[in-house]
Amino acid sequence: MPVKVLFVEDNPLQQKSFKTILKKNLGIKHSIINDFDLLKSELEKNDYTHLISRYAINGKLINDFSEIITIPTLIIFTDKIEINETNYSLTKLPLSYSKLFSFLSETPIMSNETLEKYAMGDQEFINQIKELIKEEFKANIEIIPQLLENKNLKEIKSKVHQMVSKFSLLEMDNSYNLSKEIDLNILENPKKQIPNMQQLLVDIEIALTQLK
Amino acid sequence: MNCIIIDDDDFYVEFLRNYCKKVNIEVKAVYQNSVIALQEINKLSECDVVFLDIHMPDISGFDILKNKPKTQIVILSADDTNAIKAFDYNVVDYLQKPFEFERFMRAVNRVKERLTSTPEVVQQLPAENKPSLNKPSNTIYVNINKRLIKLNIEDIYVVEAKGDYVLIKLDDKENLIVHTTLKRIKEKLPQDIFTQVHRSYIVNLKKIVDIEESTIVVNRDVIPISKSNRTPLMEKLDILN
Repeated sequence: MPVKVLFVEDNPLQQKSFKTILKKNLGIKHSIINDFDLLKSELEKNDYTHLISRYAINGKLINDFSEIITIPTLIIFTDKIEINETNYSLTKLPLSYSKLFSFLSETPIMSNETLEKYAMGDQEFINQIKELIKEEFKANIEIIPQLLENKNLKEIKSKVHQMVSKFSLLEMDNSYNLSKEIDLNILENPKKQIPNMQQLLVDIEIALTQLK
Repeated sequence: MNCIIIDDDDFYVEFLRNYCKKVNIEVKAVYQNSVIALQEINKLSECDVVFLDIHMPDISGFDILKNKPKTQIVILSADDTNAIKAFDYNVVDYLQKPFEFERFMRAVNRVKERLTSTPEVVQQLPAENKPSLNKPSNTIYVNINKRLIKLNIEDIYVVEAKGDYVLIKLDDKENLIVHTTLKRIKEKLPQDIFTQVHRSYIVNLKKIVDIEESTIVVNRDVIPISKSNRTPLMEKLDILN
């Protein structure tokens, strides 16, 4: 499932700041709601992957809604509020892109199982191929946004095509399906596939933090 | 046993090197540039098996297959969409990336079986690869990797420019890739039979089956016609108004 964040925040300035942060990465889908009253219906009707919320809004606490929250959650707090014990990740205001991204990266999106099986436990080989995947992903994180800007669809297709089997090897199912769709359709239907490419870049950026 | 790897992807070059090392297959050469691989296609016959990637920039694995390398070929591809087409070229196996060592070994064993069952690779090439004894009256020779190959002009239905190469499409035969220009080929072809319809295409007038405003159908291929070439084309055709 592509990364999709629900942001619960009643302060318009913080909402604006959140939107500004997300401009750095157009592939992160998101919605914003003002209070906890809409939380249940919003979580039910949408396939969010992450929740970012103020600890307290209008006298209510996020902890009061723990029964309906089943996705990874990041709580934003200020010094003024004392936080009760919670299982969620915590961060202090202001929220930055690096804080947001390190939260998104906490959720594992890959597995080493297939890779280890294919390498038959040869640790040196595993490290070598992981390094090669990292190099490829790093290069693509740099170059694909430029290719998107220049609408060089043929080159994007070529880069994505090479990554398909790596996503399969890393068991990144969402990225695998997305990359196959992009590879097959980007030349004929770029309007639909460019947003998919932006989503795939989010996965690649997260994968880079998890490929150790 | 030894092999040559043709793949532009560093990852799979290393992946294969590791698998080959495990079973003592010597990697004689690696081509990450398919154009160079095509230029040196004769060298491929010096190895027991070529691991050939299909999707490569400029020249694809199929373009290499069309030039009939005289060795065993195992195809590598990220998807299975080209498998049927690949087996038409009598390849030994088709490995979908990523592949396990066990699957790799099955391909290697198939290569070994072929190597021991047929003393000369040429014996298992498709019938159309074998030298023909027919002597067509109207022929030209094309130079493919220092070999002069005789072509019956009547068999050519389209010649397509592809960068530094031209693709010659032939009736009921494998297409050929020749290192030359469209202009040079045009000079060799009889003008009463062939005409240029687009900056990248020369067609055989006898093979045209349908003409639209901006395209023509030659055999089963749809070919674009440029505005400037449309009138000369129409003048050459017998049109009943």
